[in-house]
Amino acid sequence: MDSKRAVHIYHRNLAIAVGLILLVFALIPMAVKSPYLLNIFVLVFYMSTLSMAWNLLGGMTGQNSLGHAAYMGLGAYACCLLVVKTGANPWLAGIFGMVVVGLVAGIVFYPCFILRGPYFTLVSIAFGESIRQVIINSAFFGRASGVGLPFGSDSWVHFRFTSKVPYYYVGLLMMIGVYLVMKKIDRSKMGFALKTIREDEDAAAAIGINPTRYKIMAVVISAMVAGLVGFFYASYIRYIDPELMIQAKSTESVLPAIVGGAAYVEGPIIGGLIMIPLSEYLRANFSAILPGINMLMYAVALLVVIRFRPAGILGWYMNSRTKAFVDEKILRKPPLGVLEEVEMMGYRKGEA
Amino acid sequence: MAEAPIIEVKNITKRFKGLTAVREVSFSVREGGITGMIGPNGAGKSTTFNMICGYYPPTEGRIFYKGQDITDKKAYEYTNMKIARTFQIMKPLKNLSVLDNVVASSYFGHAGAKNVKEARERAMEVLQFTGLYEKRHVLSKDMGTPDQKRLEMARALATRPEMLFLDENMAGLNPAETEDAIRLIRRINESGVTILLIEHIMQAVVSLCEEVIVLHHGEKIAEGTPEQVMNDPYVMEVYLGTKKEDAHA
Repeated sequence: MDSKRAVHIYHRNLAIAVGLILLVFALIPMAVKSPYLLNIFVLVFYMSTLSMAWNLLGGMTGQNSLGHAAYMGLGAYACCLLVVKTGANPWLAGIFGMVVVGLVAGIVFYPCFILRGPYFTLVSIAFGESIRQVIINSAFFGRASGVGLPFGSDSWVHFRFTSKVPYYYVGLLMMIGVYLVMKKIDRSKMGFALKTIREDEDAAAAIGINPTRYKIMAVVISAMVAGLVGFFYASYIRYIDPELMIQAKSTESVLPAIVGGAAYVEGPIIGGLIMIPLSEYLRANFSAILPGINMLMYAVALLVVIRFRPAGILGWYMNSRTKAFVDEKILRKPPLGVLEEVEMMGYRKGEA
Repeated sequence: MAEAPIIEVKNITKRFKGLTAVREVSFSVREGGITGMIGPNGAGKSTTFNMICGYYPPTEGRIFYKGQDITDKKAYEYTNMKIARTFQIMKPLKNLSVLDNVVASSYFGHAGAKNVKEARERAMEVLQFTGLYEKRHVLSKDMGTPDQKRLEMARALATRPEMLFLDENMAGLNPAETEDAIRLIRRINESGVTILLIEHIMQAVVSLCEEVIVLHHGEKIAEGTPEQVMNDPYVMEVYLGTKKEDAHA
């Protein structure tokens, strides 16, 4: 049972490492009192979640969407309007928003998946812009002046707080929850179907995958997660306007995934943890020296990552000596063969 | 009495705009056997294949599988009917490991795996059968042609087919690798899978197939045992050309 013990030790070490990271994040609000810094963390949480939504389509299915800000905005609008017009509970409104976004995305994109290639990207851009135009021009949506959520005393029922700490924890939970869902999808039948479609649609059809069906499922789930982020954003900022859906915001939702490594479920989180604080740091420290220089520096940082680490930071880490060192010396990871042997052991026993 | 054929193709024609790629081809595939389809480049072999496998709908004609008309079925509906195929130009899932390539297939088909472990278990069995087990952690894009051809077969087999279409599975292999591939195809057939294969390598066709169909310019010009077909004067002409004296005579 030596191999079993080795695997056990590895899993224990892994759990300790993950536990420590979670503990650090749980304790940050106790140590960090500055609302400015807490805001950056909240920003990281919801932008990473939005980027995970994008990654399900862009990274796992190979359908590059440039309209995720619109899903997020639509989710935010659906939820805010329901709260403002009917006085519904914001949590229920959040669920309503997710359902609305999922339905709209499913209906809009169903005809598009009969086409292949870059059409999906084009439609996603058009989709975002159309939704924004509809909202700007319709009194029901408050036109360009947007919609504000009612203010009042702090309350969990109404999900409103003056302090940023509750938002920090809810945002963190949202990010972890969505991560777990994505991880589950990644390892499931659906995940393999999506990855097969990404690599080759004909090959997917040859093993019995209906590409249209799975692409629709991916779009709907991705849009619903973006809608969830919209609900969180609206509850946090408490005011939304059509600017939320501009093209640049959609592009921003792609960056954490690309920088972190779009092939990995963890990519958007790693990318978000790096790029968003960097962007905020540059804005705080350099924009006063020369307006716009922060954007220039951000762009250079982005170019450097894409030029030298095209598979993203995780793509580099996964094949690096650093990972080999961490696996071997710190986590005591047994060789792949041993891991596999122990994993399948349980299965064979269960079958017998 | 002869058994009913597993695949029956009746007068299929495919026109791409003005070009007729395949014209009124009919043939049948005997259950449990290995049938070969040969012909020079551009004869319409792959087009015929793609029609039977649901990738292009035929312009005319019908296709039957176990007596059922499957002409209008979509390509992805074939897997549940226990039909699998490989591609002439290999389509490995490049950025996935060999194991994950086959795990993906194991989830689908009439007896798709219910969970990760079952899928992995089945994938490992198939990898052992096809001789790729030792390379299971390699990214499929990092493998050479012979292994990628094997992977094509492994992916098809993981869906547990009863009917397997192999599109030029030996093109680009050296003689030793071709021998290995022939052995593998024979083992697949012995496990109860009916095979229809397109092949350029005569050695493979002669040693594997009981029945051969010859296509030329989109039409069927001969069928029969490999010996019969090889001795057919028209087939010889198509493959070897006419002698100069005859041409002038």
